[in-house]
Amino acid sequence: MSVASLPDRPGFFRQLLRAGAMALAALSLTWGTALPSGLAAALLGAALGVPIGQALGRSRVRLPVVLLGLALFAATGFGLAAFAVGAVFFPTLVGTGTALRTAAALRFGIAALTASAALRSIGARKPAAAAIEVVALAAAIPSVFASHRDGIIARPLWISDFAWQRGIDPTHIFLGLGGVAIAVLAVLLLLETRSGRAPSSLMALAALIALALGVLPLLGLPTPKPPNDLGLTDSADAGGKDPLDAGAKPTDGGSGARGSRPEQGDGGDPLDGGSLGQESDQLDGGGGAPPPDGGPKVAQSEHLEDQGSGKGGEAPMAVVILDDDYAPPSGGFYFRQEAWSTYNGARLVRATRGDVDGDQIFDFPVRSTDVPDPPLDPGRARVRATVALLVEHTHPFALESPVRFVPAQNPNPTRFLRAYKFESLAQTTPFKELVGRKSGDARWPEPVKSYYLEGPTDPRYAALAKQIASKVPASYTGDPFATALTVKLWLDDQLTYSTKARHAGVPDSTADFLFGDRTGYCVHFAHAAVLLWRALGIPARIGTGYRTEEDDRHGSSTILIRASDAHAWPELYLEGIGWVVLDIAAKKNIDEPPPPVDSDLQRLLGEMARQMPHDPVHTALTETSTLAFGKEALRVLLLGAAMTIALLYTVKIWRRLAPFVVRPRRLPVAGYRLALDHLAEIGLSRRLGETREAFARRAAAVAPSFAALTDLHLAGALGDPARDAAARDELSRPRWREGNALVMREIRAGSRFWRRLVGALDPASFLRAR
Amino acid sequence: METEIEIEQSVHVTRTLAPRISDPAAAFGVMNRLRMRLQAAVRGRDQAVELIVVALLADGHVLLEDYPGSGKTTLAKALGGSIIDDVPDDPIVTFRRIQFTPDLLPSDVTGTTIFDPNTNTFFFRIGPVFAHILLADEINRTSPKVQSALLEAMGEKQVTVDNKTRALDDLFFVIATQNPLDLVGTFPLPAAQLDRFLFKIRMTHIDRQSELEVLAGYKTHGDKRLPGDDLPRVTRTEILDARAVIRAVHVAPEVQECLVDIAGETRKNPQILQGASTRSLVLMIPALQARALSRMRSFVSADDVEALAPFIFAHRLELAPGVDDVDALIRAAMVKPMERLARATMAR
Repeated sequence: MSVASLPDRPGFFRQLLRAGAMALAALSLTWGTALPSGLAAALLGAALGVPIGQALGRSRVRLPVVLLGLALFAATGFGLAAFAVGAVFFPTLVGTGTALRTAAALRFGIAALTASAALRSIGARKPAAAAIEVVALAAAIPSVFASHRDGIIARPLWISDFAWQRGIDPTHIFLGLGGVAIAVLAVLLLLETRSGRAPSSLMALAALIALALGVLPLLGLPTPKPPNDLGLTDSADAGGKDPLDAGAKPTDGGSGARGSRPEQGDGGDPLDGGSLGQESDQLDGGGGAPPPDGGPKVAQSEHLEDQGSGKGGEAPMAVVILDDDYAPPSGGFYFRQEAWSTYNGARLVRATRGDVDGDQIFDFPVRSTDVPDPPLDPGRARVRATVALLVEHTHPFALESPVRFVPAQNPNPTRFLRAYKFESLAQTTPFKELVGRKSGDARWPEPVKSYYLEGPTDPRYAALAKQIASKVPASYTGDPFATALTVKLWLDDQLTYSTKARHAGVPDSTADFLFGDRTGYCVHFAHAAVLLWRALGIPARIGTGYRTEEDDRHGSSTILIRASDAHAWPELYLEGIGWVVLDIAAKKNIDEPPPPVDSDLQRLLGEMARQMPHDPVHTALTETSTLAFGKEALRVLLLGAAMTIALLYTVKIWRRLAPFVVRPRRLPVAGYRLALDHLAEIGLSRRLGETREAFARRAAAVAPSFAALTDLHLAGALGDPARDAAARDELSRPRWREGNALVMREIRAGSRFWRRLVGALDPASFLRAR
Repeated sequence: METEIEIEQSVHVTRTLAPRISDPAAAFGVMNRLRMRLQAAVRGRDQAVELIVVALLADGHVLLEDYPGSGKTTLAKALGGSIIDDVPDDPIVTFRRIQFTPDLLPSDVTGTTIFDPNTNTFFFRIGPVFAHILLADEINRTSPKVQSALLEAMGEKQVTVDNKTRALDDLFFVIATQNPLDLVGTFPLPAAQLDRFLFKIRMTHIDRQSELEVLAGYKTHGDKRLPGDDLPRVTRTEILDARAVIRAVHVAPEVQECLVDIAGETRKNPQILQGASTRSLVLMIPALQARALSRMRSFVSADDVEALAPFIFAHRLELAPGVDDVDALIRAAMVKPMERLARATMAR
C-alpha cells in the first residue's frame, strides 16, 4: 500500500548506453597497451561492470563495503593473474602463450570491471556522484588523441592522413571530435538529472558549444612547435663564444649536393664564353642544393638562435607569397635577414657601426619603412611579396635586396604570428654581364672601403688567394668579378659539404677548415669565400637568412620556408650593381639530401596566408573564413552572454522585490516565488511531476515554515476565488512578509554560507525555481 | 430523513436530538473523531484508516486486499462501533458482517420474504445489507449471483426482493475484503463490480512497533472491547451532514483538467488496455474534497490527487498481458499532468 520510493530503475536503453560508453573508455585506455585478449577482456569487463555496479548500488549493502569488496575482488583477480604466469605448472599445462594471454585477460578484464562497477555503484547510490563517472569517461576517451598535443596536428596518423588526403586541415577533425565529445558528455549529464530536461539546460548546452567554438579564435589553435632534432644541435648557447663552432648545426643550401645538376665543365677556364653561361647556370644553382637535414639556422649569431636554433628539420618557419613574378637567375631565392661584415679577429659578425650595411632594417615595420641605403636600380627587378611568419623571428627578412618594408594584416592569427610585405630589387643581371665592373663603390669613404676589406692577418689567406687568382684567364686578369668567380669555382671544387664537421675549439675555425680538411658547411664556405675575396681586394660580406629552391615552389607563387632552409652565403659588391650573391656549391657532399618540400603543406599554408577571397569553394574549406567567422561570432556571443546575464540579474532582482510592490491579488505567486528562489539558491528545487506539497515536505529539512507558504500559495491558486477577500490570508502582505522572513531565517540557519553566496551570485538560479 | 430525526427517539440511547453540522470545522471534527477511534483500534494502518474515512465521507465503498488476520474485520467493526445510530427505532443496525462462501444465496444478503403462520401473511425479513457498515468478507469466494445482488445494493442503495424495491439507509458503507493470493475456487470480481468500489486498498504487514502495540493492547483489554472505545463517537446524522459539507470544498478548474489529463494519459499508454473511466473521475471528486477537508483545506490540491489517484485507478485499469506493476504505470501517467498543474499555480 505504501508507494515505495526506491530510486528509479534506469531504463534498458540508458544502461546499454552506459555500458557502451564504459566499454569504449576501457578500449581507449588499453589501446596500444594490451594484448588482443586483454583488450577484449577490458571491453567485456567494463561493459559488465555497469549492470553489476548498478545492482550493487541498488542493494542495501553500504557503499564503503561495496567498494572494499570490489577492491578485494580486484586484488584476488590480480593474484590469480600473477599465479597464472608465476606458477610453474600452469604455463607448462597450457603453454606459455596461453598463460600470458590468460594473465593479460584477467588483469585487464578485472581492472576494467572493478573500475566500471565501482563508478556505477557510486553513481547509482549518489546521483550527484554520477558526474565522477562522466568525468572518467571524459578523461578516458580523449586519451586516444593524447598524442595530438601541443598542436602537433599530424597525430594520430590515421586521422591526419585521412584528412590531408582530402585537403582538410586535421585540426578541424580534432575540433569536431572535441565538439562531439562535449555534446555526448552533456547529453549523458542531462540524462543523469531526475528533474527532467529544463529548457535552461539545453540552452546551457548550446552556450557551452558556442563558447568552445568562440574561444578558439581568441586563444588560437595551438602552434606547432618544430620538433627537437634529437639533440644534435644542443649547444645553442655557444653562439657568442666561438662563431664558427657556434652550436647550431648549420645547414647549408650552398653545398653542391645536387648531383643532377650539370657539372662544371672546365674549372681551368671558367670564364671562357660558352662555359661561362653554363657555369653561371651552375654557379647560381650551386647554392641551391636542398639543404641537408640539420639545424634550421645558421645560428652563428645570437640573433638567430631564438628562431629555433637547436630545432630543425622540416618544420615550416614562414610562408612568402610573391606578388610579382620573379625567377632568380641563380635558381634560388635568397632571403636575407642579416649581413655580417665586421671582422672581429676570428669571424665575421653583424656590423655595429652605422655607416655600413645600410640595406637592411632590424625591426618589424609598423608603418611603411624604407631601407636607409637601398640597392641600386640597374640590373634588378622590383619584386613585392608578403611574408607570414609561423615562428617568431627577431628581424624581418626579405628577398635580397630589399628597399621597403610595409606592415600587413595577419591573414590568419591562429596560424601565423605576424605578417609583413616587402619590396625588393632582386638581382636579374646574368653573371656574364657582371664581368668588367669595378668592385666597391666610388662614393664610399675611405674607412668604409677598408672596412669591407678587413680580414685575418694570417698570411696563408693571402697566399692561397694569390695562388687561386693566378688561375684567372689572362684576358680577365684584375677583373673583380672574374677573380671572385674563379675563387668560387676553386672552392666548389675543393670543399666538401658536411654538417658534421664543425671545426670547433680552435681560435680561427675558418683557417682550420680552409687549410685543413676543407670539410664544413655553409658558414665555413661563406667565411672562406669572403676572406679570400677580401684578401684579393674585393669588398665582400656574408648574408644570412634563408635560401629556397626555385624549383621547390612548383610554379606556385607560394614559397614555403622551412627550418632547414637557413643558410649563409658570401656576397660581393660591384659598382653600379650593389651587393651580389655568389654562393658556393661544393661538389662533394657527404650528407644525405633533405626530403622534398611537402607541396600539400605549401599549398595549404599559402591558402591560409592568402585568405583566398576569390575562391568560394576553397574559402569554405580554409580555416581562415571559419575562424574569422568564429571571431565575429565570439564577439556576438560575448555581447549576448553579457546581455543575458544582465537580463537574468534584472529578473532575479525583480523577483526579489516583487512581493513588496505587486497587487495583493498577485501576492500568492510573488511571495511564494521569492521563497522558491531562496530555496533554489541553496540547491533545493521541485522535481518534475512533484507536487508543491511534496516539495515542501522535502524542503522541510531546511525550511519547515516553507510548507505554510506553500499552503498559502495553493489557497491563492486553487482556492475558491469567490471567497471574501478580507478573509483570505493569502492576500495579506504582512503575512507573506513574515512568512518569507521566517523561511529566510531557516535557510540561513540550515545551509552553509558559501552555498548561499554561490546561489546569490548565480544569475540563473531562479530558472531552477519551478 | 430530517423529519424522521425529529420524531420520538429511543429511550435507551438518547433523548436529545443529534447535533447538526454545517461548517467545515465541524465536518473536520467528524472525520477526526472517526480517525482517532479507528487508529486507536487498529495500529499501524494510518493510511488505510484515512482512506476509509475519506471513502465514508465521499459516499464510496472500499475493497481491502489483504491476508487473513491483518485487522480487516477489526477495522470494520471499529468503524461500526464508532457510529451512533441516532434513528434507533428503524430496523437498520450499525454493523453487519457477511462471510461470503460459494453456497451463499442472494437472499442471504438482501433478506427474504417469509410466511408468518400466525398472521397468514408474508413479511420481509431484512438481510445483512440493512446496516450502516457492511463487512463483506472474502467477497470473491461467492458466486456472481450473490455478487450482483450486492452490486445493486452498493450502486443504488436499494435491494429488490420479490419485485419489491426497498431502500437502504443513506449511510450504507461496504468494506469488502479479498485475499490476493488464495485464489483457488474464487470468482474474481468483474470489472463492473470493481468499479463500484471507490478505493481498492492493498494492505501490507504493519511495522514492528505497531505490531508490539497490538499485542500490548490485547493483553490490556482482552478480546472484549476494542482499544479506543472510550473515544468520542459520531452520529449517523453527523456523517450525512459532513457529506453535504464536503460538497462545498472548491475544486479548481486546473485540478479538474489535471484529472482529465491523468485519465487521458492512462488511455494513451499502450501497456494499459483500458484506461480510467469517466465515472472514476466523477467518483474521485467527492473523495478529493473529503481528503482536502481532512487536511483542513477549503480547496482540492495536487497533494490530494497524488494521494488518492493510485487507490482510485489501480483496480479500474485493464493492463496488457505481461504488465503487472500498475502503481508504476499510474505514477508515470501522473507525472506530466501533475507538472502542468504545479506550473499552473504559478501562472495565475
